Amino acid sequence: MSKEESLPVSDIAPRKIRDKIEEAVSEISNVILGKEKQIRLSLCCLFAGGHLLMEDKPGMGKTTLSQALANAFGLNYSRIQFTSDLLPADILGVTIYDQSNGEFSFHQGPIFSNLVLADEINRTTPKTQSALLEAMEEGQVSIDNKTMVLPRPFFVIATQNPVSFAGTYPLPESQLDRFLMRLQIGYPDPAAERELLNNRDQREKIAGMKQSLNAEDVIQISNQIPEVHTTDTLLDYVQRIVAYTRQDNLFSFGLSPRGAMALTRSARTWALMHDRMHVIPEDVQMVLPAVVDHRLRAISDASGRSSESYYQRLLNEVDIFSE
Amino acid sequence: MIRQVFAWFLKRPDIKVKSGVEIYRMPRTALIWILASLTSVIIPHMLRMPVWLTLLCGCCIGTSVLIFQGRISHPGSKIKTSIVFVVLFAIVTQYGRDIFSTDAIVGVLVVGIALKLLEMKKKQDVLMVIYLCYFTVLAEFIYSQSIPVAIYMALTVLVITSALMSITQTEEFQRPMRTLKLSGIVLLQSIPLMAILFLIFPRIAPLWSVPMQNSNGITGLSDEMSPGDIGDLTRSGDLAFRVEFSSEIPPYSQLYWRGITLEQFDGREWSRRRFRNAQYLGVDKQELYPWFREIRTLGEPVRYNVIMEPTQQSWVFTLMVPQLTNERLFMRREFQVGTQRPINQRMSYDATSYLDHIVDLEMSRGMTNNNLSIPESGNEQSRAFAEQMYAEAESDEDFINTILQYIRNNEFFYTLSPSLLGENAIDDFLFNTREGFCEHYASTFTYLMRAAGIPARVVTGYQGGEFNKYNDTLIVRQYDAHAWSEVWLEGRGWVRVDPTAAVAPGRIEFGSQFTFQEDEGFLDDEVFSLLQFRSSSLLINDLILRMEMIDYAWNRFVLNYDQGMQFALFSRLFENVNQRKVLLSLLVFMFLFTGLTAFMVLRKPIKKAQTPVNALYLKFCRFLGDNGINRHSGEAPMIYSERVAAVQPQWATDVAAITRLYMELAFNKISPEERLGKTHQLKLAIRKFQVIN
Repeated sequence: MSKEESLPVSDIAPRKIRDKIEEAVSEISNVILGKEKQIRLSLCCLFAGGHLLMEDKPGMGKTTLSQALANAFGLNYSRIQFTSDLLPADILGVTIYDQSNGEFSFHQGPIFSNLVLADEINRTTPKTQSALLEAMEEGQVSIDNKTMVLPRPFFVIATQNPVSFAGTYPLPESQLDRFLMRLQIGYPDPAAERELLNNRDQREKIAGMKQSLNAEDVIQISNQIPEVHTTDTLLDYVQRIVAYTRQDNLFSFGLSPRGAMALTRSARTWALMHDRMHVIPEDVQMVLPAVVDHRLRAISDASGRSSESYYQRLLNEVDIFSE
Repeated sequence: MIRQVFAWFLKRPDIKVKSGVEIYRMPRTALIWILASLTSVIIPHMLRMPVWLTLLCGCCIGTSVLIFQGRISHPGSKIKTSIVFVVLFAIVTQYGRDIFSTDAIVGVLVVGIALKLLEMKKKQDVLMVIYLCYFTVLAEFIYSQSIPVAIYMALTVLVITSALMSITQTEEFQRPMRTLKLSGIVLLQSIPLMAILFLIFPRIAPLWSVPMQNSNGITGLSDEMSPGDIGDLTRSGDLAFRVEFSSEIPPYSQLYWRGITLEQFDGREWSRRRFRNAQYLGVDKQELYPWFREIRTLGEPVRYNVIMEPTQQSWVFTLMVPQLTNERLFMRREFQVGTQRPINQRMSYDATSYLDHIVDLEMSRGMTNNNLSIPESGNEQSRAFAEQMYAEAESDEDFINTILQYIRNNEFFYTLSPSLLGENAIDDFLFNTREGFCEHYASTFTYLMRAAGIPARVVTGYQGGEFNKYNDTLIVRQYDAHAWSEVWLEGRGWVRVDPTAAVAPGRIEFGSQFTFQEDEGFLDDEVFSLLQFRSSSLLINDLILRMEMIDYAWNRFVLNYDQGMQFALFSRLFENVNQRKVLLSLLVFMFLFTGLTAFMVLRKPIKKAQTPVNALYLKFCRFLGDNGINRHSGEAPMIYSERVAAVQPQWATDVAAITRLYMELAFNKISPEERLGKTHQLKLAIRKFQVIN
């Protein structure tokens, strides 16, 4: 990351936070080996107040990553294993008649946590899926005409198996859009894998992680995001990217305004994470694959998965400057 | 010092904009440029304007500065209305009956701009002031079209253009000189277009004429002459006309530029005969008249082009005997060439003259009588003297020589400040005062001829001129004005006799400037003129001639460029041209040109211009690209910088520094002042990088 270090540094972001972030990254890297970029992006997603969709084959370390994230932040963590018979109440909670005082009382479901790992979200029925997605969108849940606010920060990491696997209910585009980023962890490189094989039990390592940040820090960083400056030149670039995706001969649908906002917000957060109070094109390009990956579908690809070459095209063909 | 003055001007509190009332906030440098353009527009008019108008303009300028600084607010509509009425009343009172004169109209225009300064509330108001400045600056051309004035006006246009540019500039531009430089560049770029338009734009006769008060008396010849009444002749060095010979230049003593013939004499005053049945002769009709047909010419003709200053009279100057070649000119019976209308602007004409000629061998009785008539009474002494001398002479020629001899041998003086003559002017001059200038001698000589029965007349015009070796032109000034006689001799027709030659031969041989140099009155009006000093230094004389040459070229090729010259240009370029074709093809050309331009502009998608900073950076990238490292599409600056550093390690520091500066400018939040400074820094860094590598 020598690139960012040579950038003009503004003193507005407190150096303490940056050190904490670096510490957190290295702590998590101890658990998930050789995936620093994915770790930084998921941190970015967390700071930006978005939710993360992790899509990969089983056993790639999705759960490990989310546990490590929760530990690094000292956030309370709950995990929901989505199955085809899971009901919305299993997530949100239920109202039960309490005989001792003759009143109905609400028992909070697992969603009332700072960090929720929704494992294999595409295994459950659309009804349950949408209960989760609604909570993600609103930051609150409504049960029996009562509205209950979810704790802050509230961060959902949903994992899903690739769509081609049998027995799944794939998320529709409208619901994919609710996730700020989609990440693929991917196979580790041989060196990292060797280290993994040499090491002790992963679970022990997670338990032994040092807490680098707390919920307060996350909120503080989130509050600073709107203050990160974007110039006309930069927004022009973002808009040109967006316009490019909306050309009717490339993608079956382009980036929505929400997608464009997600891109800018992620870029702002990325800049902030690197101690800059202004966004540069490099920030946009760093977060772009994760932000647009699940929001675009190429015309030639009906499966809803845009392969790497599509966002690579965005990076290569949309110039920083207008013609 | 200048910086401080600017800073004071630019001082402006950040006024909170009142809700609902949109007040246009002019960029700071704009005010300076607007005031500068107004001032430079007013300065040349100041001499002609009443003092109170100049003061009023000064007040308006001061007030507008105060308004800009927020010390006072814009005047209300009641105040404005009353100011307008008061000023209008003052102007009407000032100019009275001359209210439609150019001076008055220019005055109204100037005061209009000055008052508009007080209500520069919207951008349109500011634009109005600027456009009016452009308009008013042209008004100066009505008064003078000389080179210095043209240069001054060009500079004024530069200042006004700066004003126009500065109102579109953002607050960041705090240095007015930068705007000036920019507008200079723009104006320089527009010169080729201006030159083309100057050459090909159709010259259309003006739809109305501008009222001028140019007849200030001293310029030009008048059509009457009464030498006895002038005690002190002021001769000015103003230009009368310039001549360029296309054939061999005749000897100096032959350069009698014939203006008007004065045939009527009342004993004191010579005047032009007002013809009731004048014979006007156009170029197409000259063969119809016997007197013209009977002109016998000998030798080679002299061909020349004359550029004449406006005289408000309707005659031009030619050498005897002229042939008409120009359809605008016509000739009268006494070989006097004129125009249909008074000459109120500079005029150029070609003429051909045969210096060796015999005209009017036969003359009609009526014309003979006209040229013999003298008043019945008065000047008895002279008449007797003429009759006596004529009786003693052997022939008419002998008589003429006797008279010239008489003048030569007696104590006649040539002077510009002669004594006034009594009632019998001729007698008084011939036998009493014996001092005078050409008019005295021509008048007396002609009178004596007529008294003796020889038809004679007075001719006025110019004699000689000054030859400019730098462009081979002859400059004839007002002080070259002259009067001489023509006598009709049996068997020889009209013959020119210059009695002044008898008393002051140098006047004819070398020109008036050498004859009168020591004389009082000569060039009295030209206190500041270089002409005053020309005798003292060869260098100054040389300088005058060189300036003359430039001025001649300016007149001949710029001011004088009219429909005719334009047409001549086209005929040289294309075959088979006529006015209609030229006009039509110009119209078609312009239509096509504007049409094509419009088409091209409209066809192109609307493109957002690069910001100056991005343009600089892209220029830098292109330079690197020319050196083998192309920036890929979509390649972000920092990444590109690293790639360049990897390929060309010796550039690493410079490229990184430039990229850092650019990133700061393009993507960081930055104050306007800092932005301006850093943009400059970036520009310099890139330029330096390009020069070094």
